[in-house]
Amino acid sequence: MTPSAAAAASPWWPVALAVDVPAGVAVPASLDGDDVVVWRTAKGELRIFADRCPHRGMRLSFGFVRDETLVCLYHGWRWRADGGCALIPAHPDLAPPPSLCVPSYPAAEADGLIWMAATIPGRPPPAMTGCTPLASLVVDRPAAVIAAAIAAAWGAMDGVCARLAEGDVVLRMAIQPVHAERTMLHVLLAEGDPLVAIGVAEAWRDRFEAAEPVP
Amino acid sequence: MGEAFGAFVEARLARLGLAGSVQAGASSAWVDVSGPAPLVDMLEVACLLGPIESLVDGVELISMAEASNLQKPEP
Ligand code: FES
Repeated sequence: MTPSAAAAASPWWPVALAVDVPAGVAVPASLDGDDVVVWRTAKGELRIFADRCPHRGMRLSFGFVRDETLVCLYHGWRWRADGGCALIPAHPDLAPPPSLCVPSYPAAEADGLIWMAATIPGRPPPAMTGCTPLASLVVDRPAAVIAAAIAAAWGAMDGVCARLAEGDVVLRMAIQPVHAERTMLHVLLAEGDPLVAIGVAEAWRDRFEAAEPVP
Repeated sequence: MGEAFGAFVEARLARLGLAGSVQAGASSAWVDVSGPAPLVDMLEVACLLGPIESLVDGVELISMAEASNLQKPEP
């Protein structure tokens, strides 16, 4: 399945494990070449913004969270969770106009995964009920190659999600196309020993990296 | 300067929430703008940088009172 076919099946795309974005932290992510910053306010509200400060274009993922705002590292402009500008430190008396805002994306957290969508989807992200997040693994292969390898080895994918049973281990994976040549596998444990499961997931990662291009 | 500069300034006016308009010709542009001084300053810096298609030599700031006595240059 190509990423666009997967998008038709599910408007949600995984971008991080929830444990990797604790409250008060901002991390970078990319989806199909679009750079975003995934962050949580000090109170833990999850947000996904374009990773580009509207002021001079600095990556907001280089910035830091202060209370309920994301602060740009370059000139310290502060961005609220609603995307609006809260403060311009060089002009503390200026009320920033509402037009000054960072583009944001719908974000959702479910079963230990953080999902993002391009527009507000009419349904929740795929369920991974009862699973424990294990790891996010980078594969330097296009998502379409990995989707084809998964379909050949494990059977058809369910949107952007796949299920693998090997020995006593059952894994769920959610696939994030990072850019044309890179894919992130978000791995969750459904059944089995976590240490064994990590070994199984890494072995599959290596196999995906060696997979043949889709003809 | 041309269309690219005009579109660039319009986008900055909208982003900064400033009231204004732009007339951009081949070799000069005229921007009318009003709003809080720090935001007008930001627009001035943006104009100085311009879009990739334009080479900006300089920006001259004229207050509205003075400008009313001036003939706008043909863009
Ligand atoms: S680039 Fe972000 S505050 Fe200046």
